[in-house]
Formats: sequence, C-alpha cells, structure tokens
Amino acid sequence: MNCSAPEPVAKVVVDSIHGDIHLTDRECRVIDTASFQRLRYIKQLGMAHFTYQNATHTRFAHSLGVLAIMKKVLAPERRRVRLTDDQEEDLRLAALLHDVGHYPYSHLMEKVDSVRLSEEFVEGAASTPRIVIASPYPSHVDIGRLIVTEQKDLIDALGSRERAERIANLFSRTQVADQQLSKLISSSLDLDRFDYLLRDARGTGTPYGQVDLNYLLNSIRMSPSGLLGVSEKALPAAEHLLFARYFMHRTVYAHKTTMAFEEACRQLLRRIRDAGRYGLPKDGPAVESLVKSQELGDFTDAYVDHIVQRAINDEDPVIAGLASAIRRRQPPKLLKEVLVLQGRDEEPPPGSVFKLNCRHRLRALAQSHGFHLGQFLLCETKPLLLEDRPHRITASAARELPPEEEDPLIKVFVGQNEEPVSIVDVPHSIIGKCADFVFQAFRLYFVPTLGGNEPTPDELRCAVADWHKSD
Amino acid sequence: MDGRQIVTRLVLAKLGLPEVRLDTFAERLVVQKSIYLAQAAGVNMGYSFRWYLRGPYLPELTSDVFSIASELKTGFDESAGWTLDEAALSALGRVQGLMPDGDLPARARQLELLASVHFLVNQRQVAHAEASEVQEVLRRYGKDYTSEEVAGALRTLRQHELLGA
Repeated sequence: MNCSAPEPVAKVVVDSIHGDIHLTDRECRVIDTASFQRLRYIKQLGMAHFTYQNATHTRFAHSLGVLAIMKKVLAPERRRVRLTDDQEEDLRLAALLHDVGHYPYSHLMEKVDSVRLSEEFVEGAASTPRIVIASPYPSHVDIGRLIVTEQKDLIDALGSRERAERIANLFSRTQVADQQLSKLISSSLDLDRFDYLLRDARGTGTPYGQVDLNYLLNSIRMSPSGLLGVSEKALPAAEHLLFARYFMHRTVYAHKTTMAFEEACRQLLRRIRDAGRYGLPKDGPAVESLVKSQELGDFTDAYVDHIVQRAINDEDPVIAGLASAIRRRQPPKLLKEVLVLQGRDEEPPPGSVFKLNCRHRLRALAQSHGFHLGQFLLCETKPLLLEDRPHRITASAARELPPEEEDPLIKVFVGQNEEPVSIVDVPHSIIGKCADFVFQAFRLYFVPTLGGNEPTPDELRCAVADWHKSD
Repeated sequence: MDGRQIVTRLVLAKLGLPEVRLDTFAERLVVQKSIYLAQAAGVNMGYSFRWYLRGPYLPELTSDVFSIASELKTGFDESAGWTLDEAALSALGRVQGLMPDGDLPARARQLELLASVHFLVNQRQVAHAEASEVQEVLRRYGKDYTSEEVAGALRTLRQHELLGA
C-alpha cells in the first residue's frame, strides 16, 4: 500500500457539482496547455442548448469533474486498490485527459460518417453506384490519443513521451497491463458517467441524472482477481445509476428538438465535406493532421459555427436550408416519430416497418411536392438498454458471457462472495428483470427552404401518418 | 444501418461472413477479429479496440453487428447498392489471404492469435516485435500458443503487410 504523503496542492478551483477541487502542480500544468484549454470551447451536450438554454457547460468542466471524482476514489479512506504513486498520478491524469480528443460539438461532428442522407437511403433515388470511402473520421478516443502523444505542450506538461503514452493507454484502454485501472475511466462503473449524468442534469435543469455519487464511491471494491464492483448494500444506488442514465437518454440526449438540430448539422457537415467546401477535413487522415498541428486550438464549436454561417449562402439549396435552420434556430419539423420499447423476440422490429415505408414512399412524397429528398432527415437513436451489453442478448444469456462481453456490466459483491457478479445476475435486482427491453426512437424531419411555397408540416404529417404500419 | 454499419456489413461479406452469425461467442469472436484485421489493413471503420483476455475486442462492435443481423432478418439490407472503394477492396484482399480455414473453433483461435499479435506490436505493448516477447504477454493471459504459432503469426502479418518488416 502506498503510504506516502499526498502531493502538495498548487491550486484550488471550485466546481458547481463537486465543490473545491484541489489540483497538483502537474495537473495545473496540463490544464494550462493550449491543447487542454481548447475544451473550454466545446459544449458537453452538443446542440442541447437549443432545447435547454442553460446546457452550455463544457468538456473542460466535465474533465475537471472526472478528475475530482478520481481523487475521491483514490482518497486514502476509500482506496481499495494497491497503487504506486506513479499509478495514482497516471490515473488522475488519464481522468483529466480522457475527453481531450473531442470534436467540435462533442459527438455531433464525430459521427458525420454515420449520417444517412435521404437520397442514399431511398429506393431508386441513386442513379449511380454508391461507393463507401473507408477512411472515416476517427473516434474522439483515437483523436485524444493522438493529441496526448503528439502535441508538444501536453508531452512537456506530462513530463515525458513515455508517460504520455501510458496516459493515452489508460483512457483508450489499450494498455495490456493493469486493465482494471483503466476500467475506472471507462466501463459501466466509470467515473466519466458519474460526472456527466450529474452535470448534464444540472445543466439542463432535469432531475433524472441525480446519482448517489458518494455512496457508490464508498462502496467500490476490487476482488482478488481484479474485478471492480460495488458492495451489495449499494445495489439500489447502482440500479438507480442505470435508471438515471436511461431516463437522461430518453429526455435529454435523444430529445426530439436537439436531435433535429444535431442531425441537420451532421447532414450539413457531411454534404459540405463531400462537396469539398469550406476547408472541412475530407477524411480521417485529414482530421489526424489537423489535430497534430498548431491549428488544434481552433478546432472548437466556433469552427463549426463559422462553417454554418458561411453555408447559409451556399449555392446548394439543401446546404443553404440546413445551415439557415441551424443559424436561425428554426428546428426541422418533426413529421413522424415511432417510439419502440421492444422485447428481444418481437419480430419484425417495429422501427423497421417505418424505415421500409420511408425507403419505398419518401421519393414519391418529395416528388409530389417538388421537394429535394435532402430536405427530409431520417434518423434513429442508438438502441438503449438499462444495462450496457450487446442488445438482443437476453439477461439470462448475459450470465454466460465471456469477460469481453460482460466487461461493461456493473458488478456487485453479493453476500460474502469474494468475486462479484454482474448486476443482471443478482436475483433480487430489478435490472435483470427489465434488461431484455430495448428502447429506440425513429424520426422523420422536414427542413423547409427559405421562402418556399410549401405545404404546412401538418399536411406532410398527414401524408406519413400511417408509415409505421405494414401494407 | 448507419454509415458505419453499412461499411461493416460490406467488409464482413467480403471476408466471407455474409450471413453475420452471432449465436455463439466463437462466432462473435470471428466477427470481432475479422473487423480488427480489416482495420489493421487500412479499412478504417472507426472502431477503437480495447485489450481483453482474448485480445482486441470492442463490445460496441458486437452491438453494431447485432443491429446489422437484426435488420437483415427483416429482409431489409441497407447496404444493398453500396460498394467499397478500390483502396478498401485492395486492403481486404490482403486480409482475405490470411483468413484461416477449418472449423469454427480453429478459425476463432487463429484469428484471435493474429489479432492479438498485431495489437501487441502495433500498440507498442511489447518492446520488440519478437515471438518470445509476444508469447510471454499472451501466456500472462492464459494463452497456450506455442512459440512456433506466434512466430508464424508474426510472419503471416508481415507477409500480408499488416505489420512492417
């Protein structure tokens, strides 16, 4: 056990969620780098501030929040893990830097390659073979790894390139040794989640993300085999954490208005990128070059805002319409929403019927009104379960999962057992009973053109009203 | 299917897994390692693999592949009409050359070895790309690959240009 004196505090900052955060000199040096300060200008919740006007908190505040929680976990009275001084500092720095690779507007720009453009999706709309260029924008984790290991200011602040590699290995979970340490950064029981639920609830003014943070932190243990879990008395707090996440997704992260703006912006960026305009990185390698350069500091929300502003006058009416909708805060109109809470064995998945109808009928609808197909935005949320495991694996099947697939599940120490079990495997937990259901929202939006002589959204809503039904 | 899932579906089909079978862990392992090796060859689908007991793995990929399989069951294949670009097809040609034959357990075992060796070397988790060092790390994870098998995997990965000489 490490019994050395705690590092001296160089500075204290005050956080709206965690109160005083005591920073060491090393942490201050990392925070003061231009590479880290960039996070002050990236909103945590993308375009959620268009729906919740106070949701303007940043990746910067969140990163400090995760550091604060890591410090609580590592506090001597809570420490259940034998760590060296270096390991402790690495964990704190990995917590601080885990989101340093985020794109402007967080996940919004990162997912540009996942966009489904209507003219690509709708039957018979494409007249030429469609080719996938397999060099998408990298994940924010990969970008974070590049920034930490390539940006000189961060390498200097961390002390050495070797340490920078270690930190990157921890938050990207590519470290072969000490896997359990990195689970504190990223897993179902991760500190990232604790902070973002609390902070996003505070920022949006919704109550759903409140979690019993201190109780959960006090209950974390590590088993002899190295598995992290919470003690059985914290089972209700762990269940509540999962429900909190579920309800935050339902109400905040997948809010129909936020999703409308983010989908519009994502489709706008995709179209601009494909058209080679406004200097947007054309592919993954171009993004990698950007974040390794001195231009990194400009890769913030303002980077996208500037592109949106310029695109308002674009010659392509779809690009101009999308840009205008975002800039003037005129949300795309929701024509139809299909909400599905689906049991594992329900066939066919109800959302598929809606998508199939869009595929077969959207072209005729667009033609009948003289619209461009790009004015229709079809999107869906990611399948949402109470517990993170590959969806369509039942709770009972989850009990047989190998470590690779069981890893994201919260573990609970039941009774006197030295090794924890997954929460879905605790007989008296509600999670196992509810974990077979998947929630998903399928939505079709319409973006009016500026000054167009178009039907009202209600007319279009009537036209698509029965698209959730099979013929 | 979203854009990434369409690429994933096309890659799996090109690598001889058009039916996307996921019923057993061995089947899911084959899918995981195939996608890992495709990315290693340069067909980037944006998956950031982590290290687990059975080498590089990503639960998020399994979720994506379940979504693909689920959609295919409805008879609705959004990847129809799409094709990969020449660079991707060329890269996958190299991966096809190292896809093992045999029954499912044998293929899963060989793909696990190839992906694990690549990950350890590529992520600089071993100081030197030498069979003995790689084998030692794998042994720590309970793997019984012989030094000949590990050396063979290194050789195969280099022959197919997934690792530098």
